[in-house]
Amino acid sequence: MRRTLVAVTALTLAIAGCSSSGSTGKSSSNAPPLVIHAVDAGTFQEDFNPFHLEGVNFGTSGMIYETLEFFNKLKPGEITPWLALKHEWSNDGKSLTFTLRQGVKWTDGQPFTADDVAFTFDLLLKHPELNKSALEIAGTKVLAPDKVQIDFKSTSYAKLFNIAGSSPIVAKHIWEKEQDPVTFTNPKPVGTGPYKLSKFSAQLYEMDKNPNYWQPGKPEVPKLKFPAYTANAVQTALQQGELDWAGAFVPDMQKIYVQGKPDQNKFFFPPEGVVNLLPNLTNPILAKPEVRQAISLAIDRDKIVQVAERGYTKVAHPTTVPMPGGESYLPPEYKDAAFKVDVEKAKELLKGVDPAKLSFTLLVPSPFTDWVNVAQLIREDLAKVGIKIETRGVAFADWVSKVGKGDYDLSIRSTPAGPTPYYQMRTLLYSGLATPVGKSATGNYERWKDAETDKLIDAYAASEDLAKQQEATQGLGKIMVEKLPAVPLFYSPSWAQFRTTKYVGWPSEQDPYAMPSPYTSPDAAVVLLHLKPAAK
Amino acid sequence: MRFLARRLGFYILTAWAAVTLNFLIPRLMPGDPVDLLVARMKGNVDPAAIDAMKRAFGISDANLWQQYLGYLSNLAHGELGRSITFFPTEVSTVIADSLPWTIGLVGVATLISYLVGTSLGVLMAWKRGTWLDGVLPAATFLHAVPYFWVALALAFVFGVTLGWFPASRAYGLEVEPGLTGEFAGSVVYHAVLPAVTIVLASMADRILGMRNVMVTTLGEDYVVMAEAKGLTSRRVMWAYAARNAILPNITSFALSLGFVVGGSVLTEIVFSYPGIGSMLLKGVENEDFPLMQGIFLVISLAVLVANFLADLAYVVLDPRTRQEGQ
Amino acid sequence: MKIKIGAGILVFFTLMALLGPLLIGADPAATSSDGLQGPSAEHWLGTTQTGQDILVQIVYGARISMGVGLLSAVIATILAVAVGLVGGYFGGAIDETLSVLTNIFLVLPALPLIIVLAGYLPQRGVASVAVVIAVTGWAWGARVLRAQTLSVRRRDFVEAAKASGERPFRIVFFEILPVLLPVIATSFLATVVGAILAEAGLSFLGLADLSTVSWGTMLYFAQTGQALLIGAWWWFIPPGLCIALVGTGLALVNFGIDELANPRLRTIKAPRKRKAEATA
Repeated sequence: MRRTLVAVTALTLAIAGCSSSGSTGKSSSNAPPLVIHAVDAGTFQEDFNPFHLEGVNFGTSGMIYETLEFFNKLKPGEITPWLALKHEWSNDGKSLTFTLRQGVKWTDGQPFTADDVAFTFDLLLKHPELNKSALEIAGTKVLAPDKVQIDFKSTSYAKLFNIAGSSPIVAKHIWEKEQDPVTFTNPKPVGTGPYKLSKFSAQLYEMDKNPNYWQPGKPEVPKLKFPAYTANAVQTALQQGELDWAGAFVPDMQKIYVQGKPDQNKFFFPPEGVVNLLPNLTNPILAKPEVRQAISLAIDRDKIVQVAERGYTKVAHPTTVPMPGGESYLPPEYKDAAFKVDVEKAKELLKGVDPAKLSFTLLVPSPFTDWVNVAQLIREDLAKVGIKIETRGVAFADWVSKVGKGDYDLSIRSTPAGPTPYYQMRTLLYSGLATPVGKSATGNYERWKDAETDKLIDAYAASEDLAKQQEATQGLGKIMVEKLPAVPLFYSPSWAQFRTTKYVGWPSEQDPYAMPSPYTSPDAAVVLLHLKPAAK
Repeated sequence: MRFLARRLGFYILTAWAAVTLNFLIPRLMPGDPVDLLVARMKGNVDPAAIDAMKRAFGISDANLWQQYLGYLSNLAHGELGRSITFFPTEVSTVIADSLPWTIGLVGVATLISYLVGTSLGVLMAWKRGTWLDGVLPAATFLHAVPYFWVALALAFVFGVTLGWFPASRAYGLEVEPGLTGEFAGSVVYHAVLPAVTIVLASMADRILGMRNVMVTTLGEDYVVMAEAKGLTSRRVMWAYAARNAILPNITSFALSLGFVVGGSVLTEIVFSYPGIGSMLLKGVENEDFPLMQGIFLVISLAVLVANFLADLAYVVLDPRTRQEGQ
Repeated sequence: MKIKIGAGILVFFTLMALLGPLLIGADPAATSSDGLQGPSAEHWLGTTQTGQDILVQIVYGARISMGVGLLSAVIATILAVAVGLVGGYFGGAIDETLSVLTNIFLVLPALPLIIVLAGYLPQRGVASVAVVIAVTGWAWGARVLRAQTLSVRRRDFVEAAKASGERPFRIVFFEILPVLLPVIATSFLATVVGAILAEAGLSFLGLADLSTVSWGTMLYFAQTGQALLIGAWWWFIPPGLCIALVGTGLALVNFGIDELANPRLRTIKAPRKRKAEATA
């Protein structure tokens, strides 16, 4: 059972090939810079350490440092070779061998080799502070200058994305000199990516194209500018046309951003995880499936999406599988399932429950104003079936701590998105993540414990066969529909606004080749590699 | 001199209290920055990494007294720890980068507001019954308007709608920071709206305060005497009445600095100004204890220093304090 | 005149806060499909992005905003009276200690302290926000009251009470306190303004409970909804204006009380205003 990447390789080369013909080095040097807003910031700190969680400046991963493979989250299962040409599992999923691309150079001219990859994973092994994906690395072996084997303590099929798709590879000859890679701020990053850092100041940093990038003729955008905008200032900047590419929540897209020019001021908000209404299953009333079903039937999700989310996203599929794109992960019997409001049926389901006990608090983080509105709408809907809800807006920190510890009745929370729906379902449902109430959990906040669910999750993780993985995910989708461990509401939108005045070739619903948000790594770099100067 | 020594003693005591409060508040309150970080990273962080991160962030379980001593000794070495939001940047670096902007903006704006406000107050007291009386209700109103509301209104009208002044950041994107005229010009241009906000919102207190003290002073015998002697009214106003009336004004001004700094926090946030206020909010949002403590300490110390300077000014302007104490 | 205008404003807003919700009866958080509509016969002050009626929100918001202002001013004034009067009357070591305490709180910048404290608040209800504001806002009042107590305690009636063997507690709170009532009242009113402003600031930063409707949270939602950028001035102007009007009303009443209490100010027709900023 070996999965090679030949087909996808051909696809990428085709994509890479089709745009390189049109441009010469000369025309791209005249091309204008692209102004990007990825994350809200008042000022930047000089940190380009790709292993840092938050202090690191955006673009470090993807544009400067690259991963071994690229996983398209909008087409679950689509994997594109990047620094690695292919991978091969052995030893029951405890060893992974990468064959690396040859001829890739670091921006200081040194060649990229298997030593760099081995060094990177050894670094994660040595410094757990940097190992944010919880990879259970046992060791690494350099088999040839272009072949490296990474060993794991346990079967790691399901971690392929974290290993190959989200671990930036750093240069051994630079990082081995660092005494403390944990606090290293890497002010002069040397990567393999399409861009190099060219300028840094507290309000603006810039990247120039890497002239020796391994994809010939790419990138065609010669310069990237990252100005610092706060959440408030970015709105004005979008309105005034100062930004070419942003990932911002805009309260009124038409008035603030589109301004009557839908062909020029475009946006694309694909799903990135699912926002659920989380019932605390340790609450004896919410533990009753009929109560959760009644809640689900009473909620008018269309109205929530239209009013609170301003129509920027879509109602979730009852299985939580992101659609479109996730078709092969849908259980066949629920392919066309959709949420419907049915107040009468909800009342019927609640007949056996003491009405006095149907009273819950709904905890929402105050800073998420759209969720505050969602909570308000849910309160109005549930009142119609006799469930009393008190919405309580609390500080982000308080919400994190209370939901983490299971100290709540109902709350709203989104699942993280992964390259396949399995990732979000595991976070939502795996019993191993459910801690006792009072102890902080890192997932499964509703504390769902179900042997069948765990079996399916384990089955996915024990296989590298796509069909088997899809089958397991379909089983999980079935559980979502039938047992309703959490109440799915809508897809969490990924924000992306882009202007076509300078460059074209952005991702779209018709061609979802990567996440379009500038704050998603390494997807943003993939988007940049697809851009071509707009015709004058 | 005894007066100054006494005041200095008081300031040292207050500084110690500020430091200690700073130390205690985070430790008395619930919450864990690492949990937050994990939440923002949407889970999937190695438990081993969580422990390691806690150690890196300097979150320890030592007893309170030991932590306190450690904190004081770190402070004595000028070490404020590492920011969690901007990990691994040192808090002192974050502050050093943002403080000059705040001092520049708030300092200049406050000075303007003080000079203009005080002068207006003197004039209003002197020329009661003229059109200047109209300033009074306006000042009363401005005194009660939220800073950020003024800031937003100015940003909207002059920044967005008219486009006369930039409504965010501290200098233009195209300008290279450095000792050039272009950079200086850009900084001044960008500072106009936030500075006007602070001037408008803080001037009212100076006007009202100065006017009230002046009115009282104008009834004093020495002013009546000076007038009776036939001195020009300008001389009476500035050299006799205002010089005396300004003394309490200076103290209240120094004390109000804390309020001005507070208001400018909101102003900075509205205008995306890269000062210490924006940083403080970031620290609060991320439960970044070291950053919050550091910034709070710096603001407290700045107000203390301003008060001490006001005391010095008092000594220079009012010979009586040199003997009497307070 | 001033006191009349000021009192008029305050009576208007107080009635609005007390009776308004009873008259309107609607839920201020209720959404509708009429999003972002300008003022009309149906919605006098227009609607928010989610179709909430702004007038209803203003009326309900008055309760929370003025309530927080009053509550924290009550707490702060009690603290100020206790510290100021006790310190001023007893003098000596008690006074020294209380003075240092007062001065510390006077010098510490209040709003940053409130932000930091609010950042730690586990439960951001109306009451806890009021307490935080009060804790950081009592010092100016205490300082003024101490100075006044110092001058009052040498007066004849206090000496007489002392001579007749009254207990110090009785003298402070039954002899001195009534004399200082005008001072306490002005300090109280100034603290209300400061507290309303502080609550608005906290809400604006998103640090208060955003599921309750106050003028501050209205401004927060208007701001995050980019009301000004999309031209929805009706969403943004009213709450700020209400805060400013209440503040102006309180300040005018304060002038009036000052004039009544201080005949000298009255004869020269010059209102003396206490600095309210220290309370914010």
